[in-house]
Amino acid sequence: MLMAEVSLTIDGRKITAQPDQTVLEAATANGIEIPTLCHDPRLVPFGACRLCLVELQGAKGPVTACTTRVSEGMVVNTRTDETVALRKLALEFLLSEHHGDCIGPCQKACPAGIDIQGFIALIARGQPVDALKLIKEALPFPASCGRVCPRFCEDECRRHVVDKPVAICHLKRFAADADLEAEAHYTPFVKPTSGKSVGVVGGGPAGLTAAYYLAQEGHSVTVYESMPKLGGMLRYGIPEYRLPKALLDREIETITALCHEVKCDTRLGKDITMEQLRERHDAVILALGAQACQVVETPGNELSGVWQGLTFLGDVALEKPVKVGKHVAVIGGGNTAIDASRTALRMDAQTVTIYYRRSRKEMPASAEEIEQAEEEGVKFEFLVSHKAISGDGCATTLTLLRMALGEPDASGRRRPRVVEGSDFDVAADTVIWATGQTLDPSGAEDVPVTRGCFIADAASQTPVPGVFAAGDCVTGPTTVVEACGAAHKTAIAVDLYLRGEPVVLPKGPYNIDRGSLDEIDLKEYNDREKIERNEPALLAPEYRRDKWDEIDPGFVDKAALAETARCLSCGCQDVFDCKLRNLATEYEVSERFGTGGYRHPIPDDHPFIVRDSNKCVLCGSCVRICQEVQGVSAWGFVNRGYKTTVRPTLSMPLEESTCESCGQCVSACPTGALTARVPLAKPGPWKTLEVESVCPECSVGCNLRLKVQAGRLVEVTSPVGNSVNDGNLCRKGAFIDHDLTQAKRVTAPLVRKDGRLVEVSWDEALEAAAAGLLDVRGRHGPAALGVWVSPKVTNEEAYLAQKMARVALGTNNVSATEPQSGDALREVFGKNASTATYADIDDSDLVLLFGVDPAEDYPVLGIKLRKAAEAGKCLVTVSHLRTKMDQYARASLALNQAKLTQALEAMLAYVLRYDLTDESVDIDSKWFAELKGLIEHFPLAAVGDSFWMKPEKIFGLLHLYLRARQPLIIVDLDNIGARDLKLISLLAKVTGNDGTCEKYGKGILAMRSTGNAQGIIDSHVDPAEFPADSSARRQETRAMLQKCWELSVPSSPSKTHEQMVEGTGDGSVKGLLVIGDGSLPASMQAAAAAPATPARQQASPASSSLFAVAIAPFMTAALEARASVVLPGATFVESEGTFTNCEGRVQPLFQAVKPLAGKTNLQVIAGLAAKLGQPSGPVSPEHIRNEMALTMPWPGKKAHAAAS
Amino acid sequence: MANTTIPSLIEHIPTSKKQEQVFVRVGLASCGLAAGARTIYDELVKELHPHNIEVRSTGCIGMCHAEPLVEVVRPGDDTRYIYGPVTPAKVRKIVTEHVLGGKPIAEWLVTSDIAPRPDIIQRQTRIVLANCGTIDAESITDYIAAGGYQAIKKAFKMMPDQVIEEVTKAGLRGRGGAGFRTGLKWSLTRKTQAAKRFIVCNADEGDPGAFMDRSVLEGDPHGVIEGMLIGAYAMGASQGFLYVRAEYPLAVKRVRKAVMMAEEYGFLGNNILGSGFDCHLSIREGAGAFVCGEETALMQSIEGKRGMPTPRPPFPSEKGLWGYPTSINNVETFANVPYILREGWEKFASLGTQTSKGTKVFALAGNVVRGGLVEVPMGTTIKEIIFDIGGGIPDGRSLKAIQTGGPSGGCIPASMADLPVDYESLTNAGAIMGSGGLLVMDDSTCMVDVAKFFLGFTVEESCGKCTFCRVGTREMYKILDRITKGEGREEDIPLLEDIALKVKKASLCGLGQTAPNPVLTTLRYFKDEYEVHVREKRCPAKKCTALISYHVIPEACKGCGLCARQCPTGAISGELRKPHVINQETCIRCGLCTNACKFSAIKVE
Repeated sequence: MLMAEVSLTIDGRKITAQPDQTVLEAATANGIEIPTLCHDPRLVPFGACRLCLVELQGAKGPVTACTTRVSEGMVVNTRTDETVALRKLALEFLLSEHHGDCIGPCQKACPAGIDIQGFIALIARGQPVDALKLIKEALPFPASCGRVCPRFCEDECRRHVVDKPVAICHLKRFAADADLEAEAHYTPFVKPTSGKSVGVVGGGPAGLTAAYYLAQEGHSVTVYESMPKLGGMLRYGIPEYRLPKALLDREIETITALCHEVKCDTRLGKDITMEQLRERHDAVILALGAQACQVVETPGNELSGVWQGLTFLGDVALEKPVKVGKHVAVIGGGNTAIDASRTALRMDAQTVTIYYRRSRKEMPASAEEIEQAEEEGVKFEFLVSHKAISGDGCATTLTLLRMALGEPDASGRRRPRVVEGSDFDVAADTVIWATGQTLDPSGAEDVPVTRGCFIADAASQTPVPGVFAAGDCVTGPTTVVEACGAAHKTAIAVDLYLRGEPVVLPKGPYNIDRGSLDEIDLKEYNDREKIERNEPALLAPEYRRDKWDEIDPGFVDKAALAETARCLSCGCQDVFDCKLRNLATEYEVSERFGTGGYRHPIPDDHPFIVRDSNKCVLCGSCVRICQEVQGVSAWGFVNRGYKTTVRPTLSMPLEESTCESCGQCVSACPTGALTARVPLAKPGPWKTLEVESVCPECSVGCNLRLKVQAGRLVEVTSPVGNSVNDGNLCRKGAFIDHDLTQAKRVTAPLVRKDGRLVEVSWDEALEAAAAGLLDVRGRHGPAALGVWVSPKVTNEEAYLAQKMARVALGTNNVSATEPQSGDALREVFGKNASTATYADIDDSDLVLLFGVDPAEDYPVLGIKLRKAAEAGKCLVTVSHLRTKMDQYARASLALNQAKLTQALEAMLAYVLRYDLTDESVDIDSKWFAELKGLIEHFPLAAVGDSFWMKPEKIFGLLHLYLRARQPLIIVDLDNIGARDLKLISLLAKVTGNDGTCEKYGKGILAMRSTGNAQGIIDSHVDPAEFPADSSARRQETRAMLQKCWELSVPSSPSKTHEQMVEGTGDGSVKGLLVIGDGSLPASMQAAAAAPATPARQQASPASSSLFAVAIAPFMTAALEARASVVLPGATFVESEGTFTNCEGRVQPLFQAVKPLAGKTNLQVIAGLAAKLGQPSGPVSPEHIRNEMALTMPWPGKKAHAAAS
Repeated sequence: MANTTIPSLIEHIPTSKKQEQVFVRVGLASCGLAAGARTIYDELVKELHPHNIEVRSTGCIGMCHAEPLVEVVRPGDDTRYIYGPVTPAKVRKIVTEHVLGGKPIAEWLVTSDIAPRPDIIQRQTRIVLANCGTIDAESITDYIAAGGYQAIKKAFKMMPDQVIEEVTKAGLRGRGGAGFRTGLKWSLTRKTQAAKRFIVCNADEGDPGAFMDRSVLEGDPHGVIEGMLIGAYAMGASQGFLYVRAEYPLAVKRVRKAVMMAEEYGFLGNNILGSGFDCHLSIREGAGAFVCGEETALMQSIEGKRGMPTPRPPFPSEKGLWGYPTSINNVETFANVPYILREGWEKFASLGTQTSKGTKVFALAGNVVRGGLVEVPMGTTIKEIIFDIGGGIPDGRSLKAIQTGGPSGGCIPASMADLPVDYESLTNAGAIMGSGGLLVMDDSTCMVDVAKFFLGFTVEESCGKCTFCRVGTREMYKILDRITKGEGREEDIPLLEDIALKVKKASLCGLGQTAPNPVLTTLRYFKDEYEVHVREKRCPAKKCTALISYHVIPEACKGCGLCARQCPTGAISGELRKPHVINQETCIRCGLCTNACKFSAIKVE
């Protein structure tokens, strides 16, 4: 009954709500968000997290919105200063207990913020190109960077505490190279054009990065470059042997492909002015880099043979005729010094020496490169400083001074000082300065400069309107990855600017971490296995020292895969969904109370659930959902106060507790404390796409929300609030991804040749299948054919399959792969379907269960029933087994089948004897006469004497049923005999409780064990539609189909399921088509158990002469042994269409991932039909649904909208 | 037991027993037992058995500081001769000289002169404790003889609403802490439509230092049962639970026995006293979680769940135990009820103040000469309780502060000792009545340390459910700990206050909402002490070990070496007869040397 609505005001908005709603529910329903961590619509309000505190006019203090019921005239404010302050403090408190890494320390350390953990996991999945796509979300130069990056990430890698860091940079290069080596490179999605134009000055890493991301936003980008080619420092500063130019060209192409125009040889201030740029473009980005050499005034600098390092490297790159002398002196200690010295070595130098004024320890160049240079023969002189260069026109001598290290300076490095009188000369006919770079701002004089860099704010804006600056020209010389990272941010700012939005960079998400490498607790990593770091072997020094070939060959596939296994996956599995992180970001909390106050071990004690108590916020949702919804109580709170934690019952390993692996706790957990184990080599996590689907495991028809990333199902969830299962799932649905992953898939069409299944083309396989089936028909007639359809395929697939069987194969032998019962329902009610829905459970006042074990077979139905029982609903269970539902039932009757039949007959006899039939019953009708006939001879009088059960029990139950105003019956069709089902149906009908009229709360809900069992019956995969004994029904169906299809439908009766099974055994069925299932009829399975040896085949001609075609997603032993042709099928995840649940509710499922072998089941069926000579027309699910609607009026009384 | 026999059985119990013969009474409550009263009792039995003189046991007499107590009762003599502390050696002399000889031994009596009644007793008004220390708690007949179970008989003659009216008019308020009006609570519970109702006695006395509920249960269990029975009748509850903490084994034992006896005598069960009213009482033992004194947590515990508070509303009077309306009252509250019914609401309401009627029992403890249980009319001043009843502050020290209400309460400075104890005055002062703990602190007390002590208790006892209580108390504790260690930062004091106010405001239940009280009141009245700790890294009371050091005064030191022998870490050295020196590196500031020194030659800085 609907209660009068109340009106209240929330945040100044007048809204109405149901009187039993809480403030939180009313607000949420009206789109007003109140934060909470402990509230779940499925659970009783708990009030623990204290985040939903709101101000209530007239109340003494803040109240929790989750527990406060609305009332008329209530005035609520959800975001007052006080409530915000309280929430912020609560969040800080929660974070003080929180211990973990939101994202991996590698990603945190990466200046470009690459999702390193994510891309490594994609490589581990065998999808390097998808890894590349992920990398390119943050960095457009992975191939180049993968070769020259100083690897900030690897410095922070947690593997340091186990053995050595993961070779992240090499993996990045591996992914990038995989893409560049592919035929077509990855091109990102480009938004529709914005009509805005951007001029980027400078075609180096920063400029091209900004161009790449701005172009993706739909802006028209023009790049201006002063040099003949793009690449900046990558091209002119990094030698060929480290980064081959051909590769760089290819990588740059992936960027310029998105740009409007590239203008090389265009120098700012000379070929184009700032004014022109500002006129031409809506925004200008200066990305000039820091390519000017810092000149050190020294006597002799004017001599020939004296070089600036970058000029030297640049000229070599430009292939100018550069010559070096016999003795090359390089002054400096950075990467340019190393690059210059190794380049000189590859030219004609006899000796190359690096002179550096501090010691080796202080050298800014990377240790690895210093080592490589040394291997190649570069000599080092430390603690020496230049004094003068001398020579006659050409440099011949370098005068140096000895240095000593003094006190540390501001940078922490020890400051060198001159040792007086220590001058000495060395021979040097080439002297290369590598002592630093700076900005050359010429041409951009309007833009103010400080300390050799453009002035720009956090959003890269220079004081000149519309002019932005990015990369080294703002920061001073850095690395490629830093310049790219900075330029990406610039691109975001410029995009905001172009859209006319405030140019404020969005705050990054809040991230908590376990601490830096020297802070973390080594004990947490004790259990990690040591695995040797995979690193590609460099070319031998003696080989490489005078060659320009790339010295690092990179990873081969196997090594890359092996290396991914070393990743510790530090980042949190829940990072993209974590409510705590989102709220911490939103409320801009601090870490003033620290983090990680308490440490718990992370047990590995469940196949599907990963738990990390360090991330638990003690919201209790897991404990409560397990108890309140599942009735299992596998979780409980342990200890008090700050030491409180959630553990499995009696602190047992979770798997050994009462846990039923339904995953409900995972679905309720707001943080990463409970996560679903991902059945992949590495768990990701990734940002996922969500695709709606329906569980194929049983006829409850739970709505699924499949989380998909890069063509893989990563997690299964369910939307809370849907009217079938309200977000609740059981083991079968919640972890179906594990089953799908573990099953062996059919990856390509297979045809049996010489006793073995061999891979062939689709065409060949379809041809072989068609030919074989037609051959059987030709030789033995259509009756020797049989088509089996799995009750796990969609309505559309089932429909198309049966149509093909009847029209193309000319047989009515169409059956489900498992026997489907329920024909008694058709006999009594006209249709083999439930006459009740789930909503009737709520409306009924008595629920009678016949042979149903909800906890075991239909757990989500079990949740509904248990809740109803706990709310006071009268539940009676009748079963041959004790079930978990018995404890919630008012009464339980244990009856085996024979006794059940007798009991039902007794009840019906009692009803007739005492004239208890409903007044609506037409006693002259045919069915009533049949009923009378059925129980005519039942010895009602003998009940009590010879009867095995006390009459008061049976008639007590009957009276309960008769007295109820809205009694509902739930039967499990798999656990009930045909006669019993008929008696039950008649009982419902004769008492007027059949549910076929417009009355709620009555009827029969018929449960079936597989997801689309109802749907395939509705789709005519039902031998009972073409029965041998009742030709009237057969003719009716045939005429109807024939009329719709305008095609000839065979008039012959269908073999029953049992006859088909027997037929395959006795040889009367000789041709078989099995759709959507790896199973084969029982008789064939038996044969499959033993390998099909030639001798055996001769001994058992019946099965060996069978021609079996299967359209199957999974490879089974039966197929392996017996199938003649196997066509790869699609799983429900790969299919689009509809399932019909036990209520008759037609629910849509959408394709989440592409079929593994490229074809949907519909396409395969249609392909086969075409080969059989009867093309089936368009195969879109929608098209087929429209056709189906003609042949099969969709469920009448309580119909639910079909998918559109 | 057939109903018919019960009234007749009661009729045979005399309502007042005329005492013909001399007898001896020994306080056998937990306080006495802990001091060795059992041995004294056995000794007395041994000595007096041959003389055919009875030795009786009774509950807490109310002078816990002087236990074991022995009272000699002579017929016709109104003087209470109470000996204490009695040692086994004193027993024979008391027996021979006083019990047999009729000559009191003046110097062993609790008060020095033979006063008619000692101050500690005389200045009290005993309603709740009336039977404690006078009757045998394990004897229902003793209770009936003292006028027990008359009130319920009277109640049965009234309509339930009239009973509630009586309690409402008396102005009785909950003695468990919050002071909710008992009559209102009962009528709310009665008003809620339901198939059944529950009544619960909260005997989960959790405040450290409070023991009035235990004493009442040990000394007068039938008084509580009768109170519950009246409440059950008034609100129509057919089942009740006594939630007693398992750490009170004697109380559990006596209540259990009392319930059994009451059932046997027809005061519990079906058709009580032929009234047609049924009521069953069960005992639930709590596992000793402080939070289970909070009524919603207590109900969870009774239901067999983890003792965690649930949000209110719904209030227990609407949805309590298993979803049925439930009224939860404290032991002391129930103990007042028979008096109100028996004597009439006017007599009860004549005691106390305008808003707080009747008496209140306090557990007087700390730096006070005579600690123990005292029952005084509401409105008595703190000063009267401490000085007139408690005998003032020992060792010549002065009063610094009073903590009322245990860890949920607050510290009131000595300057406010004139404050009358009633609900409103204490709340206005930032403290609470609580269950009645009254801790006296002298001038050697460090108030920061006190706040830390009480908070340390709530940190441990927080149930862990809500964020503010679980983490907030701990963060406050961390700050206090910092301050007492001399690591406090200037911003710590405002931060502490900020957290305390927010924890108070936003916690789920009473535990969290009151946990900051010790911090807030000490900040309110003794902020300077915090500031000295933070700014000068000094503890003015010289209590915080990290902030003090022990030194030998060379002029006063005689070089006896006593301190060096006492020092557990060997930090004191020196030649005999020459001034000793304390090594500050190894000194752990335990203070043993100060106690050992006979010449006051060790100073604390």
